[in-house]
Amino acid sequence: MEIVCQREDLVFGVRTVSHALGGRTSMPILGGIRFHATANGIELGATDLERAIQCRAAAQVQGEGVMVLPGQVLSQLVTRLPEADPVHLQEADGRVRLSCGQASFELLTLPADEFPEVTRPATAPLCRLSLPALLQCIAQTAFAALRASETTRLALTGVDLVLRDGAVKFAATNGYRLAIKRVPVDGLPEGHEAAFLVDAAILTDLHRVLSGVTADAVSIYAEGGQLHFEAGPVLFSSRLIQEQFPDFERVIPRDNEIGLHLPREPFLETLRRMEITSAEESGAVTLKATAQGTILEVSSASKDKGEGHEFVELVKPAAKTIEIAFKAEYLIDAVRRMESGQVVLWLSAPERAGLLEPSGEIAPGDEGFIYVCMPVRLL
Amino acid sequence: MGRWILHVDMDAFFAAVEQLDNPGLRGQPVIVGGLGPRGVVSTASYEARAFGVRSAMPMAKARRLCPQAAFLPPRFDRYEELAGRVREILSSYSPLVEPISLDEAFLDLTGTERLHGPLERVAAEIHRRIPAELGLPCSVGLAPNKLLAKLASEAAKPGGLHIVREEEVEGFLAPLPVDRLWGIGPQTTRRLAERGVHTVGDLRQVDASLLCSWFGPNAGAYLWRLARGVDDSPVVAVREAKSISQEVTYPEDLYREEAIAQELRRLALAVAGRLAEEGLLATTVRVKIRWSDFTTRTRQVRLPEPTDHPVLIADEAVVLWRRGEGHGEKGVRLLGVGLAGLVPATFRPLHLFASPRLTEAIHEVRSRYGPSSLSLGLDKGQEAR
Repeated sequence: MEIVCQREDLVFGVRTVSHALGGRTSMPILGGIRFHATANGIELGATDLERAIQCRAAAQVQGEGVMVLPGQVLSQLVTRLPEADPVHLQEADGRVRLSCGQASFELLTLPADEFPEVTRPATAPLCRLSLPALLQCIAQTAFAALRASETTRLALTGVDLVLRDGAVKFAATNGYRLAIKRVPVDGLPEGHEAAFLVDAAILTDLHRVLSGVTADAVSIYAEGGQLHFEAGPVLFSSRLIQEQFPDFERVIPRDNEIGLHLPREPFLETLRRMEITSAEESGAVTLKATAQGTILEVSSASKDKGEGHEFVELVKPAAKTIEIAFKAEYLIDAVRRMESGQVVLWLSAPERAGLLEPSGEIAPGDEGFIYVCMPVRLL
Repeated sequence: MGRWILHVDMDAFFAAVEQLDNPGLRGQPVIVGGLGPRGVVSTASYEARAFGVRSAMPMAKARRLCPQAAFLPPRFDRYEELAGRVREILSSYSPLVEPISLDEAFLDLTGTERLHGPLERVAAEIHRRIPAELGLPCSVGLAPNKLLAKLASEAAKPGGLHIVREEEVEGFLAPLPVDRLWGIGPQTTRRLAERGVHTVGDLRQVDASLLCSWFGPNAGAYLWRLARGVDDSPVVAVREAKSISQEVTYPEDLYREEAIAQELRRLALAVAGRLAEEGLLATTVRVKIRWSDFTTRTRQVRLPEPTDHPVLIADEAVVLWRRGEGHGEKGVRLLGVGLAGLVPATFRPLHLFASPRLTEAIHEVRSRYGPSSLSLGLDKGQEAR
């Protein structure tokens, strides 16, 4: 087998699939990158059994076949390859000779027949959506999930993807806050409903991988107990979490009357300042507004550090008087991921959930985003 | 100005409570502890001690030594209730009350003479009031520090009052065997005995530099201070609980998954109840499992926010156990649920899916009808509500 390809294509392929390299020593084969050479070019693949990434690259191939190269070595190598074209890969007797410019390597291979089967979906995609929309869906929800170290219950470590009524809804929660993003999709059959729970950490990886891909759209496939995302030359497959995601629609407050309309950047900066003097255990900041008042008072107090106060001008007067405390981090997490000039925090009572959404002139990246945050009761 | 610390030790507390509540047991040997085949003695009444029964002795041995005794399981809620009343009496003399267990507490009386009169009289009054108001005997020690106060109450046992004044310290300590001192274990006792040091008086004769050459500079200096009855550790009013846990050794190993889950939920509810009683929230949930072959595992998880919600705690406990390795064939001999990372409940992060009203309702029912009045009957896979 002999492969001739452009340096840039090989670098991109190796970098892309290396996000799925398994670090487990119990299965050394998972540390390998699989090269599948056909008449149409090469396809690189890697998997840690939780996720699999495949990436096509243009290449001239002589003698089709499969080989598995050590992933760590290869990813280090491609970052330091000399600036020269093309790259030659030639396999013989369990070794691969890689040469680029004046540099050449003899690399050991891993047994190709041990590499786990990585499949491509055979069916038509479930739906399509724009790549920037998918990236924004992940960026505005995955952060809200529980990290695996914070729970033993897997459901909340995932992001729920609900396909319904021509749209996909991403939802993630750690039990104390909930981020939801809804964007329209193409090609979803009318009346078709489906939900998939995907590990938030894997989706964050998907975001990283697809950020580097030049493509307009992403196709989503559901097949073989996995969800597959295809954009340009890249196919990213993720296993699903087989747990019941909580019924999040139930906890979205729909009739909060007090809307605090705030300029996003100043509000964010105030929260970041007030977080410094928040109590260590609760991390809480108190928000105070009076009926018809045009000022929001943000404050925090800590036994050990002291206290802080700041005023933020409201864009519109508050409907009613309210005093409520939130964990500063939870508000900051959402406000900093929004792009619009204004946000609105809808409240009803000090012990009821608040709902945060973009307001005023809504930036395209903020369409369909809402965030529910439970308050902290200060005793 | 010197300090005055009082130490109260309830005599054979658990057994005395049983004799109080059941007059038929008075004057009879009473043994409280785990009654299963693997149980140990928690407390033996003085009548039972006459037969050689001691705390921490295997129950089977206690049954052999004193078969005619009344063998009773502990009733911690009742003991806790009475311990609370002892603490109430103590706190009427000084706010600095440090309970060190259900049956022992320190009280710092320094500077209260102007309020309550001479401290010898106060000690005598406390020593009289506790049996008079609760019907339970106690021993009381009064001394210039915690170390001496505890030794004084020991010297007063059973049922006495002993006061050690500054000028009496040397004479009081001298005849005591060294292992009576706090922090001197069997190892140190043996090493001291090898060098001819048996009593505190002997220890006092040993030069400081010699002690340091025997035990190193830190331990040496510590022993030097002990021998002189020097202790400046303060009485800490509220002892900060580092963790709250409860565990049960089962008379028969548990095999059924549902039975184990049910037990974990019961334990979780119990520890969550204690958390609420002490006004704390927990950030870490631990599960301890001991299998029939005595392999023991502890698993824990750190939650995103501190909580005292029984359902959240129970759900984590059950899944901690389920996700662990090796619970196929072997039976489970012991289960425990523990909470750590405790913070005062000066705030409560509200949960989207687990209502705080449930916590409040559970705590109310438990405090009104007792801790066994409620259990969590959630099935596998059900979400916290």
